[in-house]
Amino acid sequence: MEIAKQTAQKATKYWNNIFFPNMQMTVIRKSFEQFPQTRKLEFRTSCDVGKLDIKGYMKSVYNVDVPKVNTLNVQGRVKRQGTKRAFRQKDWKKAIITVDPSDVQSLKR
Amino acid sequence: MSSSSLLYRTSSLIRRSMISMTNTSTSSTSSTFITRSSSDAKGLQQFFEHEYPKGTYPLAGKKWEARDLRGKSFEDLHKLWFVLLKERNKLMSERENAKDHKLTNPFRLQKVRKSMTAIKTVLGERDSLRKELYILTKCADNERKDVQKRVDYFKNLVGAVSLTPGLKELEELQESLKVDLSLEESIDNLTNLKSN
Repeated sequence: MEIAKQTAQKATKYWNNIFFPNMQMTVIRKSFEQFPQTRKLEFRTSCDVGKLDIKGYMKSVYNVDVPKVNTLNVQGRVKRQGTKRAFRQKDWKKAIITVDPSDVQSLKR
Repeated sequence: MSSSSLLYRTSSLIRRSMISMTNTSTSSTSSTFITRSSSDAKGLQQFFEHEYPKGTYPLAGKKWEARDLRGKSFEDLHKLWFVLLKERNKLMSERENAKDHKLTNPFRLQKVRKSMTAIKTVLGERDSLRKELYILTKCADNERKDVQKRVDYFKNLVGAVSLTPGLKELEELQESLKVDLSLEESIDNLTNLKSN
């Protein structure tokens, strides 16, 4: 009985066989204005996301070919309240994608 | 379930009623509802919401709850997950680009998040039923009553839904699991020849 319980606990969830991605990609403020000229868009993601993840995500979810991805880590700012109290915002990763010329279009609808 | 009607539970119903309302009351009211289907956008456009004319505001229906999703199949839930994921990305980038980082209807983000959690709770119930059924087969006779209680509880929640959905299709896709039948036959023939 105990062995059965342990095996059941250790067993992965069956729906983990099929991927439920939980990745957040938000377009950074005013980064889309130069998009038609430069073919580049900037995104804000979490730090544990890689370049290949971003490529696969954009291809499978949004059907956009991304030949080139540049990433850089950004440290969270230290914010101060009054004189002594200080807290730090979250670290994040900036991802700059360059898109195929076929995918360039006006983004605002 | 079409992808446009998936997002909010009552969106299609409201849309129908709103269209009839707007047809009757033309431009007398200052604030009118405007809905446009999200299927118009392609590619990177899906990160942005269309611009609402002045005086109008986006419409949002009710969130999906666990009791709404319990009868749904795995494929439907998987489809709904991606609809919600796209919507969350869109809303986050809209908030980033908005004035003072504020949405006109900030509860839309919360609704999307809660309906994503509802999907996970429903899938978790099915998963725990599967595990309890495994324990039921292995447990001793004196412990069977307690396990049976839990199984009945989860059975009531889950209902008649397959517990291993999509796995067969995945196995077909996975090339490492495929067995080369011609190879096996040739090996069998060899062994038969040797035995003879």
